[in-house]
Amino acid sequence: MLAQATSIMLVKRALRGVFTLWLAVTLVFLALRTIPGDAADALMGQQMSAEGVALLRRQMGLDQPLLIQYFAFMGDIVRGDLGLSLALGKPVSELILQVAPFTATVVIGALLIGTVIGVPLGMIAGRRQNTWIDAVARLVSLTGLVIPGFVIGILLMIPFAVWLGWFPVVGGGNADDLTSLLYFAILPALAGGLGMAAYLTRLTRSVVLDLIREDFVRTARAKGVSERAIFYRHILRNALVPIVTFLGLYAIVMIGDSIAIEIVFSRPGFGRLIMGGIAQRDYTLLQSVLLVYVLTAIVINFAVDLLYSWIDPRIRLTA
Amino acid sequence: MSAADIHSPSIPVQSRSRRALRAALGNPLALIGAIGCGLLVLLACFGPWLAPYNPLDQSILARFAPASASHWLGADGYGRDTLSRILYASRASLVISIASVVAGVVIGVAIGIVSAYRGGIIDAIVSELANMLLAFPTVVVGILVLVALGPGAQNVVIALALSFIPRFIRLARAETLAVKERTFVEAARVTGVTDRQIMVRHILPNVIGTAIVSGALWTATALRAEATLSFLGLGVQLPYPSWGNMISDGMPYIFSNPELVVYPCLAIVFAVVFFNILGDALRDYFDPHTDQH
Repeated sequence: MLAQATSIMLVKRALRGVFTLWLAVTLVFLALRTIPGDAADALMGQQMSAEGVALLRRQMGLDQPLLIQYFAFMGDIVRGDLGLSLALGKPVSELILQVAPFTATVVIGALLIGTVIGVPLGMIAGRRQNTWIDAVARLVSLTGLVIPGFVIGILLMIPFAVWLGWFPVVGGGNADDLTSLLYFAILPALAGGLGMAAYLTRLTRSVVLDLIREDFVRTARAKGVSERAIFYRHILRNALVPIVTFLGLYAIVMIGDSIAIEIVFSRPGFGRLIMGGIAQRDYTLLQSVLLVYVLTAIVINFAVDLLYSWIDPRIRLTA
Repeated sequence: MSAADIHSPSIPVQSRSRRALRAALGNPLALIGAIGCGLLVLLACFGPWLAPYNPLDQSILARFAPASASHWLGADGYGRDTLSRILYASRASLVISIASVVAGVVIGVAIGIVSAYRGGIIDAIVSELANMLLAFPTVVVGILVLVALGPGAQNVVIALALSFIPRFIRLARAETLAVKERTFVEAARVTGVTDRQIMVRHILPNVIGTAIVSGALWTATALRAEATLSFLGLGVQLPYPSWGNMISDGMPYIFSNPELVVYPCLAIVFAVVFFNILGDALRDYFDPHTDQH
């Protein structure tokens, strides 16, 4: 019964994810077709003869009706064929795989930094409400959480990379060498992670304050359970649900923020692919990268749903 | 008194403003936020008169000029006065951010109220679509829209409004669903008030307060997104200044003239922090239940 309810919920969520992806593919397709001048124009520049552009357009299937183009596009995507980059002539999937490690280290690093700073700070602030630690945590989280990641990145880059030279200013390191990959990712990951830490501190603090007042905490205390055990077994465990929800939501925000952060540090990541795609009107590249973003967001949402029922068995019944 | 005049009880205006004043004085952070935002709005309004130079005027003699009495914050690679550019940019950033939030509130609240009040299949579709749109990162939606429509201030407003609309649809739906069942709405319906009048006179006043408070908080997010998009070259186009494009313009000189990047960064930091503090204080004041601690 229980397992059945859970699997029905998961199937529902998965269907919703597929539908969202379809919607996203369609929106991206339509959005890129509204741009004046099609991909053949962009590819050929102004030098090409009208016949040449027409030939190219036929080769690319751009002379077909929109609906046919749409189905062809959907078919390619379903088969996992992202096409050739218009500007670079290489398979888009290859380009994406090439830069993925650089973007992944920044996003994952930022999420780790944000969690490692934010959760303990919020816990401490919540347990010691109205002390100076609490006041500092509140002020930092109130001011830190809205500063754009790329601005934090620049404000870190100037003292630590430009003046002190501790970190590189430009580039993403060597993709085959984990140490170099991580070293180049430290400042960009901090740029994303500090804003997130501010958010997470605030959330954790307020969750802890709510939980401290719960009946089961009072009962545990009345039974003589030590404060330590109350904190780890009752409060921490219950605080995990909102924290995991937040991590899922913020991972999606971070994917968006990483674009500008990567540009600041001139990293060879998704951000550069997108901005290059826009500058060179490389629509196949652009649509694929945007789809990877949306797909990641959907997968994260789904993973959060799965995690819920694992952390808190009660959610299985109510969903 | 006709049935249409039945409103939910509200606090008399005078006591409310006095209460707000007392709350502001008792909370120094809120006061800082309010004063900071007020100053920013004044600077945005009167910036062109305060700015010592035309922000587009180039001067070969002033190239990379350090801070001095004639150029308080120095000048950029074209000899354009940094302070004047920051002042002009504040107008663009504030107008774009506030306009996009207002558009998001107006359109989102309208759709949310009608959808929740009517209910049925349309409501189900609207709320499902809103939830789906929320799954896309704001910056990615912005890039998609700006690639399709082309860069520029107006299109940034459209792009940001599009990502705010689903949030306000959600908010207005939730409030409407709660208010819809209350006695005064039922009373109005029984006495023959039309659905449109019920939505405008009875439901809207109950929804709009929460929407405005939440809008104040979203202004900080809008500023942040506007800065990001214009840094990426998709917002206000050079040579016209925006904080974001001033930063990308100055990045090549980060070793020799880091101040070209630092000043617009600080402008962004102050703006988003002030608006966030103000929004936060407004929420605490109007809706003390959300965060009592």
